[in-house]
Amino acid sequence: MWLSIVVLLLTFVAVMLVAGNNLSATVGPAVGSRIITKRFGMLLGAVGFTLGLIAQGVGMTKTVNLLLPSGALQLRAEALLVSILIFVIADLIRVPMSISMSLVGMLAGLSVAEGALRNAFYVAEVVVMWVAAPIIAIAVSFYLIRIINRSRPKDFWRRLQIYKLLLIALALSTSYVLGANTIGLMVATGGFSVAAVGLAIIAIFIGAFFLSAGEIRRVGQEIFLMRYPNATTELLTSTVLVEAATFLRVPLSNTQALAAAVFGTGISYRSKFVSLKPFLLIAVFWVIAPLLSFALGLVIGRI
Amino acid sequence: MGFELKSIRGILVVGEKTIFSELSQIVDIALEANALLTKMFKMSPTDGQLTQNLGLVGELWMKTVDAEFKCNEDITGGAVSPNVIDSLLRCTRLASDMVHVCLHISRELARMAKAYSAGLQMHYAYWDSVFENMLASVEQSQLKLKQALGSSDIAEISRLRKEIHALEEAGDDVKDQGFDRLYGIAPKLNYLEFYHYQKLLHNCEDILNDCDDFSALLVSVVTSILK
Repeated sequence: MWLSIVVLLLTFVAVMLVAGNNLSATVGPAVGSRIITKRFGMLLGAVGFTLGLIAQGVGMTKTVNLLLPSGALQLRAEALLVSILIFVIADLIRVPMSISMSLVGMLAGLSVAEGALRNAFYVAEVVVMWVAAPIIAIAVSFYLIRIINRSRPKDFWRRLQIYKLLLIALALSTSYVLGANTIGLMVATGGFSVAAVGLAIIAIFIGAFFLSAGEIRRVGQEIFLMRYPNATTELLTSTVLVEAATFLRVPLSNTQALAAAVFGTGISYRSKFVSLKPFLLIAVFWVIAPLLSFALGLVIGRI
Repeated sequence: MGFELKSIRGILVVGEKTIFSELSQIVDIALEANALLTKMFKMSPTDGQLTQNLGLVGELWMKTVDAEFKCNEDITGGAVSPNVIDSLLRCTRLASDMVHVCLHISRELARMAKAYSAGLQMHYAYWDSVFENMLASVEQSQLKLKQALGSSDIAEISRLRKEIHALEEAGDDVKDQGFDRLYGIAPKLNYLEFYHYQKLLHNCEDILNDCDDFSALLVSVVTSILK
């Protein structure tokens, strides 16, 4: 009984942290472009997360069942606790670490330690998706920006209005897919139930309204101080990729797709300088995060 | 719920378009000031209307200050892309500067009218035609600026920018010829007369420069928000 409560609490904390931290990535471009206010952005993001979790979040149960077939409550609690700790430490030392990647690595590590991992094909599927998604995001955003910049609108105010409306719609859709995929994975790890979903929704709103303000300001003002076509392209690319992954029931980090799309749009301009170092650092942690978590899972599972 | 409704209403507004229309209003005031100034150049130094027109230009300047303040407030607080805020603020400053320079010129004309009573000349046929030409170029530039601010076609804005630049270069030539002439006749002029003409030449060119810089910024703003 007490373990079920602990798992629920850990799910609550994990969802709250993810909602607070990732809201900036989903609504940051719209808030940073000053199309919507910060508070409206928080509401939009929280609604998107919630809708995604309710509509498609349950699909992530497949991931948890395949990676952690035994489904023991203690293992679930350990996976959530360690992922939360990794996330908090990474955030404190300002290292870009994806919680969904580390959670998947952790589940796989625990499962291997238990000798319960039977579906290696699914793990390969996840790895392929994690490698392919950033490459696709870079290529798609690169060519989309090229195409957009080549076209000359007859009425640029009309195009601007379309961009603004698109950015709001994409802020909602990106939040939706993040709710379905990453938050869905958190809830599925704890065990998908009405109580868990209810608690997760409360956690989403608390995280969005009380933990995201600083991140939104930072991301909105520093990172997404970008032009409307870039922001639109990046959000569109990441939304499509994460939704495709959710449809295939494969966990995919929204920030991974978004960061790759940002890089893709950056290199699409011939005359613009793009700093490769920060992107490479992020890419290195896409490899380190799941491997480190996998190793930790192995160790914890064998203790 | 107030903030949500306000945000939803704001979504339908293209902030940059609103700012362009506010800038166009300041350019309208600049056109009015320019028209008054053109009339002032044709007035006799003893004409009381000179002082009256100075007052009218002063009123236009006060209107500009209010319009500039509102425009700046809308730029910094409205739904405007952060990428273009600085450029738009500079556009506002340039538009208001056009009216401010008109006020300087009208003050100079009114002041020189006082010197006329002391026996100094403020009108020579040659100089009148120089300033008339320059103010006509200013009017054309401002009309083109207004057209650019109301346009929704990048190609048209780029074309207008080139035309405004050509007017500025032509104005530069007129100013240079004016200075050549001024320095040529300098020994025959009183210090105040020399100062008067050179100040007016510089001021007229300043307005043309403002129009030119403004149009260049417009192109950069439009490109920034679209590409």
